[in-house]
Amino acid sequence: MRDWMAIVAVGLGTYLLRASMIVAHRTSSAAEERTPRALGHLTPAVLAALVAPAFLVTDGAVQVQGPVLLAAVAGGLVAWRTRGIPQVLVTGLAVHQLATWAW
Amino acid sequence: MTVTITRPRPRPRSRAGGSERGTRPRGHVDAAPLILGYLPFALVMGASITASSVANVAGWASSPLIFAGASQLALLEVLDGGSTVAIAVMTALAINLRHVMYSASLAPWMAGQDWRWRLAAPLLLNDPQFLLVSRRFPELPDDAAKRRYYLELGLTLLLAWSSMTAIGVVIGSRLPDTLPFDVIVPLTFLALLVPSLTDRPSIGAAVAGGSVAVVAHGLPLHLGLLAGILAGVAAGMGLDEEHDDA
Repeated sequence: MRDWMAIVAVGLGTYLLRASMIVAHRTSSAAEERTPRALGHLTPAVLAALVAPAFLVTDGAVQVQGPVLLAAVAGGLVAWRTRGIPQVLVTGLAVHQLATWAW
Repeated sequence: MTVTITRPRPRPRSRAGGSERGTRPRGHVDAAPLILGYLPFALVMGASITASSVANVAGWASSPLIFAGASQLALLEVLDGGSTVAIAVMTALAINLRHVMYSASLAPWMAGQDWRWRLAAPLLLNDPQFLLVSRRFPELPDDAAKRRYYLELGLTLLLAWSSMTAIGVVIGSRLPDTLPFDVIVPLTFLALLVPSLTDRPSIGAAVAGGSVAVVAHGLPLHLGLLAGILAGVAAGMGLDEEHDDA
């Protein structure tokens, strides 16, 4: 029930975000040109706030695990070079697997 | 769904010439390579649903209902971590706030369409839809052709994304429990994060967001995540100002 509520709420909220400017079309002003720039920072901020703890926090403590860190570095490099999710996953998982064996 | 595709070309018209001359762009044809690109993401999404505390049907329903992969995966992560509905919803909506920019960008054209179209079209307006529509609209001769392209593309992507997530759920429930989702999911986010680092403000937003989220990870209810998001946006805006002053 809790999960359904959250999913429906995000669906509705996302629709409202997408419809906002289309339904209430006004000619752009300086203030409106500024707002989207602040919004543009949300994507890197949110994704980094999800990624960093996932790689650096284990069991509630900040600690670096070799294989995980290597996978993150390799994945980051591949993401930078190729911008493709499949390449990042394959490289990251391969490095993680190898490093886990070697550790 | 967030970007796997390359950024929009600065000169859409120049691509339309040559071999493509005389053939009108079709939405479902343009959708095909994107669908291949999103397949691994959809499979990770589906498999993560089965590995989480969220019911399979509810998790899958996020694909047609939300239709924006990064926010769906983030929502799943936060719900699975036992957070409150409010924090989970805020996190996912924060990821999707960029859709307001897409809405603003298409608003002038949409203003010429009837109200039913303007209410329905935003349902399909996610990252790939926006990027391709902005690239292709200048090549299309009239409003009817634009509306048709928009629907062909959007409905194909919706159908594909929903079915691929379903396949992920079915495969995922049959996969061994040993798959390292604690690595797969952050790697997927990383693959989405890196292309969004396009200038100093966006890099600053990511560095601040990531560091604060790590330092504040112990806060209850995933508040560390929100703290990271706010710090990131503040850092990005600060760097914008600096850039403006220079």
